[in-house]
Amino acid sequence: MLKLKRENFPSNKEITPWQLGVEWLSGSGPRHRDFTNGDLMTEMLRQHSHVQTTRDIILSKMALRQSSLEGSNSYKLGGIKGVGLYLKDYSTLLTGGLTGNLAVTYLGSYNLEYTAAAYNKSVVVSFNVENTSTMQSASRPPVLGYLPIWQQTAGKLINEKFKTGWGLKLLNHFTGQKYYI
Amino acid sequence: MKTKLKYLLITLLTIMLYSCGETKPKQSDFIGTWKSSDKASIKLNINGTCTLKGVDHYKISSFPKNKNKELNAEGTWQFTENIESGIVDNIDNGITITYNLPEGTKGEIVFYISGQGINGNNPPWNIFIWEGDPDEMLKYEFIKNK
Repeated sequence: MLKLKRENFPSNKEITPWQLGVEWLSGSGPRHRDFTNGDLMTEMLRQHSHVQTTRDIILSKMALRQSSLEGSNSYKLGGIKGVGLYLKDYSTLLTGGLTGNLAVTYLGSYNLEYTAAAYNKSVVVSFNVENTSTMQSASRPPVLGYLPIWQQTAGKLINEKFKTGWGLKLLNHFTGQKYYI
Repeated sequence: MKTKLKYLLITLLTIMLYSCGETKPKQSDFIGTWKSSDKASIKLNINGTCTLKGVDHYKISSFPKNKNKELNAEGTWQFTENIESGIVDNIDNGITITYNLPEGTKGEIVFYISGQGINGNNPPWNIFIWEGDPDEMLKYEFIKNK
């Protein structure tokens, strides 16, 4: 019975942001997903402007004859600048995905880490993205929800409340490589 | 009507708290040795050089090769502008550390600055990076040695 239920979960390759959202909210499906090159979620995330900007930063640094690099560039919806990003990311829900990036609407903030290495006149970039879906992050209002006091009070209470069952924490992990000439 | 009034009060309170007296961080505040709870240390020198000792490499760069590895390196540091930590605290400075690894890799860490008080924007300062997803608000934090 349990086996049959597991087989019904969409694979990492094909799962959409909508399906991931339902999976997280309902508490069904795996609590940890590892996405890689070619998976729908990875390819959608790759189209995000923040990822494109990070790629440009890496390539410009590598153009200065650097043989290898490591660093990170987090995408954050908090802070003052986060308000505009927040509105842009969530506008997808009103336009059915025509604006913004649907994968990022689901993910919210994420930590993007990279390594880059020069190889035969090309650059190999490996990336690592970590994101967690929790009730605290989903229910956090813009500005107010990013004050330190929110995290210590309301945010903490919300996470305590959703330790089991629906809305339980879901970890999304993306890894992959890309070659640039 | 009651709901509107409630939101208005919350907004006013937020603005009031946000604009409470604050001291901006300055470069000289960061010269010295910084320690984390896992006994790692970062020494920021007045001449712009720095030394990293026992820093959890996996927290800086979560690739499998860095698991259970310490980052011990020499490098340089800068007090940088336009750094957004993701917390509404009116601090837009950070510490950018560039370090060199033995195999010729150049690494970069951007540390955010946090402070004390209800808005976290008053000295003494701490420096931190987010551990994993910034929305989780888990910090890998360094406190200045007195």
